[in-house]
Amino acid sequence: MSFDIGKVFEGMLAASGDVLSAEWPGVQACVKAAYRDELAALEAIATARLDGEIDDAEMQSQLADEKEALKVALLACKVKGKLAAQKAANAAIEVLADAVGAALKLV
Amino acid sequence: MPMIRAVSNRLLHFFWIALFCLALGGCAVKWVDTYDAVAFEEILTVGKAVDRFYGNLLETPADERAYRHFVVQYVIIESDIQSMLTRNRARALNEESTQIAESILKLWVKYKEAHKSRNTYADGGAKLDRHRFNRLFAAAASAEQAKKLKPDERDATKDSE
Repeated sequence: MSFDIGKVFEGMLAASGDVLSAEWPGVQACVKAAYRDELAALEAIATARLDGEIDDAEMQSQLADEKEALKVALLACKVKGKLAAQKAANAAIEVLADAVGAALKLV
Repeated sequence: MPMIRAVSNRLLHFFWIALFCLALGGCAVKWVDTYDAVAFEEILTVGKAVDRFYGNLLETPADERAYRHFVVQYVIIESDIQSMLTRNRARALNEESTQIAESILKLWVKYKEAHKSRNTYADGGAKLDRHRFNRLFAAAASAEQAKKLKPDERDATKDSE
């Protein structure tokens, strides 16, 4: 049976790396968008206070709620990150499965 | 150096687990639940109801925004959000979407209680709250949409670890 563990391991790392390279920009873009939206929301709160549309108490409440909103936006990005890791792990397992399958055919 | 050794050990650990799985007949890791079309539609429907609520409220003259005029809509939408939360809680590997639904419900109840205690809802706060809910529902939809795998990925993850 021909089965070079070192070579297979290298292949698994490469497969995982390729998937992560492809998926990671999407996760990064999600996080950037979350902070960009948060900045716009904070500006809107500041503007509303300066224009007298909300008072100090309302502004404090709005700022507290923005913490929750940012948390939610980042949770959506976390799902994307976990999915990227899942795809990378499965790509590595696929390489291993192929190597084991090929070795078994040679027996 | 110890960190590199720790990472190498983890990778080798993963390698042997994967090999063991293959010996048992194949497996794939699954850390996030698969896409649920009903959950996605529910997010869009409830999000639209919340946006319509704020649209109606903002079109209502400020001196006619007594809580009693909106209580029925508050109750209906609160139960819709609760349904969203229950659906998410019932799904395995769905921690993030559950937390998102919890946050939406928390803020909905907070604003309802504020409206009840003040017996009015000023334009300034309502506009900001409406925009925030739009972002919250967009995040919920984005999280669900991300779970939609391509056909080949779906095959690879049909077995859970």
